[in-house]
Amino acid sequence: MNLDESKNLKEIVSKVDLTLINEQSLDREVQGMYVGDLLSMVLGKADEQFLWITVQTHVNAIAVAQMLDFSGIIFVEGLMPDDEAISKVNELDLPLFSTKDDAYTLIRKLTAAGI
Amino acid sequence: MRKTYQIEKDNYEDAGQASRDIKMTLKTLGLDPKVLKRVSIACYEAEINLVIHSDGGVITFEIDDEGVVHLSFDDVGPGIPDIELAMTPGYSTASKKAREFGFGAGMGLDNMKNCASTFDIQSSKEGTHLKMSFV
Repeated sequence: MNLDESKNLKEIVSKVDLTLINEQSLDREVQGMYVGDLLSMVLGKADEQFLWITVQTHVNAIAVAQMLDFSGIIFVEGLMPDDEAISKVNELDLPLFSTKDDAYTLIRKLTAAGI
Repeated sequence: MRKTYQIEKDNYEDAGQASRDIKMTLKTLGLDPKVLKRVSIACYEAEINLVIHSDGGVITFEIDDEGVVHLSFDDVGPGIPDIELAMTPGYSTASKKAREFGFGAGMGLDNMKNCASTFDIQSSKEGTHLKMSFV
């Protein structure tokens, strides 16, 4: 869903413990967040400049993020994308993050931080 | 402008490349971002369907003089036995492999229909032919 007001990605990242996987600028706007793992559901419901929380780490998830111009992807449960996905994402302007938290814990932390 | 793309069955690795190229082309042409988003979603869903469900096919992309975007997806089979059922949100025949990749939500055709201005699908054992346009 959309945030009450757009936030800077750098600001969001500073409030929760996320590991940046690739070298990408964090100076970008986040209009909303979406949590989900079924790609068609993500395509149907999420929007541009969203930050996406998921367990899908493969190359097709990257493709979905690119089709919708997401501001970033957070992989939960300590999951990391495979090499193929990373090499594909390096051609793109898309920051990827990983966290050991599960989605529920991460969302609680984001909510507590006022996001 | 007109472009065509060959899509291979079960090639998950390159799935989405045609949609990406079409999106970039339309972005360069300065298409309205709202229309671009609808084209992107519908095109990706349809491209993925060719990879998951068909024996391979061709995507044809065209933008006419009025700026209307036309997409056609023509595969060589095996066809959709019951289109009405396939259009039902939640119904899916995706393989275990496709589901592991996060596909198979059963929402693809419904997403496409919601995005497109016109939507036409015909199917037989010889192949499925899907046409969409975007205004």
